[in-house]
Order: sequence, then C-alpha cells, then structure tokens
Amino acid sequence: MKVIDAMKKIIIILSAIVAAAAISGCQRHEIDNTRSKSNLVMQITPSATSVVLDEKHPDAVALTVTWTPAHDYGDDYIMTYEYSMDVTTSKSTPVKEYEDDGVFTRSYTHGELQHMLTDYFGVSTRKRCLLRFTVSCTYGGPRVVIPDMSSVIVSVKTYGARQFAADNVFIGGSAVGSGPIEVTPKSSGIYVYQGNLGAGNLNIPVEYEGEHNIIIPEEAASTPIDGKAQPATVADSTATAGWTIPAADNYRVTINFNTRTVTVIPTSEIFEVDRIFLAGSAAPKDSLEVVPTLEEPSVYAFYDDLKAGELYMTVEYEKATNFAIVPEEGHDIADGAAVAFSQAPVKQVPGNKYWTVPADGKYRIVINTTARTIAICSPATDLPNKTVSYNNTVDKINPYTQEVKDLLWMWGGFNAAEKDPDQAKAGFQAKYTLKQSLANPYVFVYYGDPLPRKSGNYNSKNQETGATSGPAWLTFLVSNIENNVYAYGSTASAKRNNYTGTVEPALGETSTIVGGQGDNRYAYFVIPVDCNYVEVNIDAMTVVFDKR
Amino acid sequence: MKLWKVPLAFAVLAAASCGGKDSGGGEGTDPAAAENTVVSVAPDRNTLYRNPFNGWVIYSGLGDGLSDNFWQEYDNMDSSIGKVKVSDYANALLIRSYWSQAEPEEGLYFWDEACQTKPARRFRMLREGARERGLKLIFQLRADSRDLHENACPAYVRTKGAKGFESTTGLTKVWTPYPDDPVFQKCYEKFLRAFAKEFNNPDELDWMGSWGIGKWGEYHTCIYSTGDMTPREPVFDYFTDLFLEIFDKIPVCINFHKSLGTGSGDAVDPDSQRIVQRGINKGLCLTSGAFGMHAYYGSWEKGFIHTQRYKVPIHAEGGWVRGSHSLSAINNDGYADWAAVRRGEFDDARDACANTMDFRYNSNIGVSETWSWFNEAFDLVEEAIRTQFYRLYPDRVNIPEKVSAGGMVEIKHRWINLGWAYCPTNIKPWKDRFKVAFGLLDPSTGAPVHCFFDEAAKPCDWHRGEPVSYTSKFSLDGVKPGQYEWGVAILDCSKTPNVPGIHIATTRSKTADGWVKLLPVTIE
Repeated sequence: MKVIDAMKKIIIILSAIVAAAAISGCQRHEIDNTRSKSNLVMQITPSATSVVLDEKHPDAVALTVTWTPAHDYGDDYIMTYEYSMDVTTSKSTPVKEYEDDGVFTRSYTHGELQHMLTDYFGVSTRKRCLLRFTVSCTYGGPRVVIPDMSSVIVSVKTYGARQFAADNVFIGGSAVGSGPIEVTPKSSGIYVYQGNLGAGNLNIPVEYEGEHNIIIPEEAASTPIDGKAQPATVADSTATAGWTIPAADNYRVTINFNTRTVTVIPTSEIFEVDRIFLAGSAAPKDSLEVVPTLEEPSVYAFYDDLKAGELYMTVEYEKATNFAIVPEEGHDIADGAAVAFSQAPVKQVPGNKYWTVPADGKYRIVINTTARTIAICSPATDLPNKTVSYNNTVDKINPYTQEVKDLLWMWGGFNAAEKDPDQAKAGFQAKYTLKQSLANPYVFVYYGDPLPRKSGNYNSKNQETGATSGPAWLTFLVSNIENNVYAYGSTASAKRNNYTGTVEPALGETSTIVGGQGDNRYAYFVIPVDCNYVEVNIDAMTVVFDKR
Repeated sequence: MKLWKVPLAFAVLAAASCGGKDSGGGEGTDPAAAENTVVSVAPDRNTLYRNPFNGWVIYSGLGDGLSDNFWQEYDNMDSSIGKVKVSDYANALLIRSYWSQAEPEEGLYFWDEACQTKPARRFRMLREGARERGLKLIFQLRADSRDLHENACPAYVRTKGAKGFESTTGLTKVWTPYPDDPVFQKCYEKFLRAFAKEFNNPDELDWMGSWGIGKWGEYHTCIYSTGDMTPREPVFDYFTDLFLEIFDKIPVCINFHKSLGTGSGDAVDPDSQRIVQRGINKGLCLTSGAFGMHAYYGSWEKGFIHTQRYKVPIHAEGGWVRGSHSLSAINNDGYADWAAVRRGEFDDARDACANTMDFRYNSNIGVSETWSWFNEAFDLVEEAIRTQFYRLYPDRVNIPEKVSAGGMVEIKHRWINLGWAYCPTNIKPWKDRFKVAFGLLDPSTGAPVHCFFDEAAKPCDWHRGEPVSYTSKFSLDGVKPGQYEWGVAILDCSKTPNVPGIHIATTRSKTADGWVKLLPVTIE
C-alpha cells in the first residue's frame, strides 16, 4: 500500500507541475489556499431584529435565534459548536456555552433578556442596546479547517425606571410661548439655552430612546428659580410641574445631565471671565492684562503705569470677547475705593462706557469678580510698601532700612540648605520665594510644587523636643544677602545660641508671625505635609500653610 | 458489587472483531451497517472524573510544617468564588516524605500501627483523609538531607557503616549517604521493597514520584563516593531496575533534568537526555519540578518534553514558591505578579500536554500555591479540569437496534479526547489493563450480560483535536435472544470481573458502575 501511495503522490505532483507550467504560460491565476480549505455555510437567524422588552409579560418568549449546521467533513473531523452572546457596548465578557446536543436554537423570555441585559451586561433600564448572538463551529481533525462562524445583532430595549438622560432636549411651558424650543448641547451632558422667556412655567421636555419624558423640579411641584443649580428629576410627559419664571427677561437655562440639575438665571446676573484686558488712551501699550491673583483667583489685579485718558476693560471668556467691565455711571475712578461695576456688550463700549484716568502714574487695579467690585488706586491712595530696619552685617550698615517688596525668601532646613548657583549664601533658592501680591503689597504668596520637608540642624537644641535637628523648618527673610537679616518667625519661644522653638501649623490654619532680627529668627515654622501654598501677610502679621 | 455476585454468562467475546482505525468517511457500503442507528453521545465538559494519572494533585508532607487541621483547612479553602473543598478539584494526594520519617527505626514503618512518631500519625491522618475523599496517593521520597534541618536517612544506616557526607542547613549539620554506597543501597532497597509491598496497589497509589536520590530528591546535584561521575550510570540503572521491578502495577516517574545524576543543578549535561531516554525505554514516566521557571524549565526541557508527548504521562510541578521567592525574583523572570506565575505554569503544562499539575502546600495557607491557584488563577484551575487533563468520550456510535441471535454485529465508533493530555494506556504497568468494550446490559439492572472488546481501540491513541474512528465486528454466538441495552465502557481488565476503569466524559445516562447506556437492542 505504501508503494502504491507513493507512486500516486509522484503522479499527482508531476501532473500538477505540468498543469501549472501550461497555465502559467497563458494566463495568471490567483491561488487562495485558505478559501479552498473552508466551507462557510452556517447562518444564524433571529426571530426579530428589534425587540422592546415587555415588563407586563416577563414569561412570554421575546426572541428566538436559530442557526443552520456547519459543514460536516466526515468522521475524521470533530465539530465543536460554541454559542455566545455579548452586548457591543458592555465591558462584561460574553456569555458562552457549548452546544453538544445538536439543538441549534435558543429562546429567551422578556424577563430572561431583561435580567441578562441589566444585571449581567450592565445595560441601563429603558435603554436600547445591541445584543450580538454568535455561533462558531471549530474542527478537530487531520488537517486544518477554517472554523465556520455566523453572527447577528438584535436591537433590544430594556424596561424599568426612566433614565435622567436625553437624546434630544427642549424647553417648554408657558414661559416659552408658542411651543418647545430645542436646546443644543454645549458639552457632554450639558445643554444650554440663552434667550428671552416670559413670566410663567418652564419645563424641559426630552426625547430618549424613542420615549417622550419631561424634566421637572425634584419636588415635582412648581418651584421658583433661584439662579443656582436646582435638583431635577425625570417624569412622563404628562407631568405639569416646572420652574416659575417671575418676569419676562433674557435668561440662561442650563440643564446638566451629569449633576441632574437645572439652572435658570437672568443673563444680566451672569459675570463670566477668563481674562481682563486694558484698552483706551490710558493704556500705554497693547495687551495690558489684569491677572488673577495667586491668593484668590476670582480677584484680578494690575499694578503698573497708566497714562491720563480713557480706560476700557474688555473681558475674554471662552476665547470670545463679548462684554466689557464698565462704570455703573460716569467716568470717575473713585480713587482707592472699591465700587460696583457693570458690564456691557463690547459693541456698546466705544460709546461712553469708560473710566477717566486723571494723570500719568503707577496705578493699582483690583477687580473682585465675585463681589463685582473694582478699586482703582492712584499713587496718592495706593498702599505704600512696608519698610523694615535691621543690622546689615554684609554691607556693614546699621541701621539698614529696606522696603519689603517683590518677594520674601523661605529659609531653613526644609531644603537641606541647598542654594542656587547665583546665590552667595546657603539655603536661598529662587523657587522657594513668596511673590508680592498685585492686589495687596502686604501679602506675599508661594503657590507651586509641594514644599520639601528635609531635615536640617537647628541653631541650637529645640526647647520642646531636645533635638538638635528636625524636618521641614523655616522662617521668612526680607533679603537673601544672608540669614542674619530682618525675618518673620513664629511665636515659639527661642533664644539665640541657647534653644530654638517650632510651631507646627496644620494645613489651612492661620498662625501669627513675629518680625525682627532677634530671637524670632530661631522661632521656626514646620511646614505641614503636602503643603504647596504659603501666604504671609506682613500687615496682619499672619501666615497660612495650605494645600491647593 | 451486587452486580457481580450474579453468576454471569459473561462470555467475553473478543475478537471476531475486525476493529481498527477507519480511514474515515469511506465506509458505509456494508449492508449490515446500513441497519444501524447512529447514537450521538454528548460530552460532559465540566465534571471532574477521577481517572488514573490525571488531574490536579494536592501536595502535603509529614514534617512539623503540616497543619494538624490539614483536611479541615483544605475542605474550607478561600477562593475567588467563596469557600471550596480542594479535594473536589483534585484526583490525588501527594505525600512528600523523608526515608527517616517513613522508617524511623529499622523495620518499623510509618504505615504500621506500632509506629507512633508524629510523622507516622500524620501519614495515617493523610491516608485516611484521602481515602474518605476518594483521592489516590502519590509519594515523593527523599534520602538526601541537604537543605533539611534533620537527616533524611535513618540513623541506623550510618550505624551499619554507610559512607556519606555532611552539609550544613542553617546551624544544623545533616548527613547524606552516597547513592553508590553499597550499605546505603542495601538498606534503602530493603525499605523500598517493604514500601512497595504496602503500596504497589493501583487502588490506592496513583503513581510514584521522586525516588530520593540527589538534591531535594530530584536526582540532580549528586555527590558520589568516588568524587567523580563514575558511578552515575550504574546507580541510575540500579535504582531504575529496582523501582520498576517492585512497582510493577504503578507508574514510576523520574525527574527529567538536564543535569540528571551529575554534580550540577542547572548545567546542561550532554548525557542527560540519553540516560533519561534509557529510563523511559525501560518504563519510566516523567516529572519536573520547575514548570513556569524560565531559567530551569527552558529550551532544553521544552525541547525534550516535545519528543515525549503522547509517549509517556508527564507530571507538571511548578517551581516558583510564593512563600519563599520574592516578588522581585518573579519580576526578573518576566512575571508581573503571582497570577502571572500561575499562568506561566499553566502554559508550560499545556505545552507539555501534562497529565497532572500541582496544588503545593504551605502551612501558612495564605501564601501557599494552593491558595494562589484558587484565589489568583481560579479560572485556570477549572480550565485545566475542562481541557488540560484527558477527557474521553465516543461522540458517535453506529450500532444495531435489532440483531439475529448468533449473527454478526458491526459497530462503528468514534472517540474524542477533549484534554491536551493523553490517556497513557500504553505504559508498561497498564499493559492490557484498560480496554474499550461494548456490552449487552440487562435493561432492568444495568449489569453487563455479554461483553465485547475492541482491542484496536486504544485510549492512548486519542489526542485532542484528532477524532479516531473504528469499525468493530462481533459474533453474537451464545447470546440468548431477548431485550438488552447496548452500553460502552473502558474496562479495567486487571479486575475480576472487569469493571469500568476510566470514566467516560458524557452527560448521557450511565449504570451505577459507569457503563454508558447507548440504545435498547433486541436479539431475535
């Protein structure tokens, strides 16, 4: 038999070579071995391509899928059928089972599908999903055979509680007038309408998964608007509750599906700002900006030269400049006083909405966007820098008088006495300084990376712990010429070359500082863990270590 | 048992059969076959079947590290699906024992009631617990004391004059006999013969693991009396022949190590493969204790094991130990965590088509490999039961519903193995032991009245993904007319009378003894 088999093979191979040579001589054939070894005939079919599950009939059959057998290659091959279900948008692994009994159909009741989709695949109630049914047949045998596979997707909608969600959003009710107005999404899950509303009732009709629902106040009763985010709920479209609009005006309505709230506010009460620029003849150059202060981002400040003339302040929000800050009335800067401001569309600003800067000079402008006040201080009313006096042992000047301005230096063991290359003395690093506030010359702020809490030697033993070194200690110095300068230390008891003391404030706690060039230099603060914000007020004589 | 008390007209009508592998698909022209009915047999893909040399192996020992509540703890093991009974997932209990534990005094053995040492009491506790849970036993013996805090060799051996060497474990000095020392060999052989007399019984012992020679009993890092490797092969032949002689009914394994019998623990020795192959040719099966370790179960081991697949059964023991090895050690071996180690062991076992895998022990259960498998890789525990260990069934049986008395019967049957491991019915101790049989069953009792063997259908030929078909012909000479039911089984022919010895994995109805019921048949 083996000899015969071998001869047969030789004959077949020779025939194939001859045939191939003949064919290649006249035409080109594509050879696809993969296809030649497959026989894909299996077909899975659902009883429906779209199913809405029926809560009232959980035991009734909702869906049946049936498949035809795969090709049978005979006794040398074993066929293994594997059946699976998965939801295309679900992270859950498919439900799989073998079919060993030749039963090529599966039926599911409404209740079974509901349970599987909501409990296993995590599909929301009243949500439509794509349920995929796949059957595969793999072969085991002497040669590789491409598995057969068939798959079908059925759209299934679950039942249950209504979702606070929408495919399309409208505003409706008597406040809207003739009919619902569609609202467009501003960002994911947030829809915003801005326009005129009349006095009356406002509600939010929505369309979701083919259903018509309505978003109403959480209390399901008529609710006055308060300009803030108010809790909301979803109800069927027959609900009559809504928000009460007190008077005709221009409003902004924000429906937030992420927080399940609705905010209704007159647009005149909204002040939104990213950046504030100065313009007009009082601004000596372009792009002069009033910037957020480090200590309070809602407070913007400017401290620089202005010229006598008209001063405009334009507001940029989300890259658009639509409004300007304008005086409530007149053009007077109300020198040094914090006064209310108004806002006006930019296109009206060139008219008469400006402040008049009376004379050239260095001005401080402080705008509180929360309180909606502005203070413009001429050199005559602005706060002067503080001055301190101490023995300058480097320049050998005693007494030496210095304005406390621009910055304070953090000095101590917290940075293991490291110094910048351009510094003369150990412990001074530019990155560990507090910058003078533009809004208040007595406030100095550090806001950046978490401060290090390294260990360093004290001047002498810590009175409380007896230790000669400790972690994270510092004081604040007015100069970097050396550490023996005017300093702001803590209230801890300390005596030079005798004992030191430490105060360990908690994050956010306000502590008292002590100024001078005496024993206060050895009364240290210990930086709390995770501190990335330090605010020193040399007028109120306080310090706050915080995490922001 | 009741079944076999009935006097059987049990004519074992063997071989009018012309059984043999079909070429497949080309049959069907035989008129006799045309009257047959095709019975489809659905597989059981999940149930754990207690078949020989197959499945998960629970590890234990006899030292002080073994918990007194071993069975209680293993019957209530935490797992990712809650509390489980480990024995529900395993087929056998492996006991690691030193020779000195097994024979604390000359001629006094741990299975003797008179032996009241702690290891002996532990052994009897384990033996009884295994019996209650339907687990067979496996032994790993050890006569080498290195890395132990006590001598693995009984004291009397040294007293009798055996030569050996000392080593230090921590602060303890321990003594190990040279494997070529004649006094040691004489004493050890005497012990082993007594041991085999007690355990050379396939109803209790599944297979024998390591023999006690070399470091950790794994037959590497050997030290001989000559100071060189001269005794290497004589010692190997001596112990090989001894073990195969005394355990003639039980598979005996040897560690396939690239430094087998040498003084090294990890270097590739050019003669190792030849020597291991010689042991296999004599009748040894294979084991390794380094599965999952890329350095110690590498290209040599994989290359060798690929040549042995479907020839001998293989036990896969993992090498990484959760309680001893650090996370950085497994990280350096390419594993992110212990779940990945388990996956690595699983993959190596699959690559080797291993028959058995290990649940290793640690008295601190929470760091044991067993705990790790059940909590960090439980899916693989189940996957191995489903698809790694051999799982046999005939998916199609073409069989007659009606036959004339005294006539010929033709049965076509096709067999499937759903596991990667093969069923090792080809090994020496199982020669002629397990055979495929079709039976005419008494419909009322399920008892086989007549039995027909197909000698051509050998379970060792059934490999995953390769169905094997047979056509068997039997004469019904001597079969009385009447109503019967066809049944199929893989019988254990070492039993009298024969009983099903390898469970068939099917959801189809079975008799109490394990015959799979196929079809009612009328003998006219």
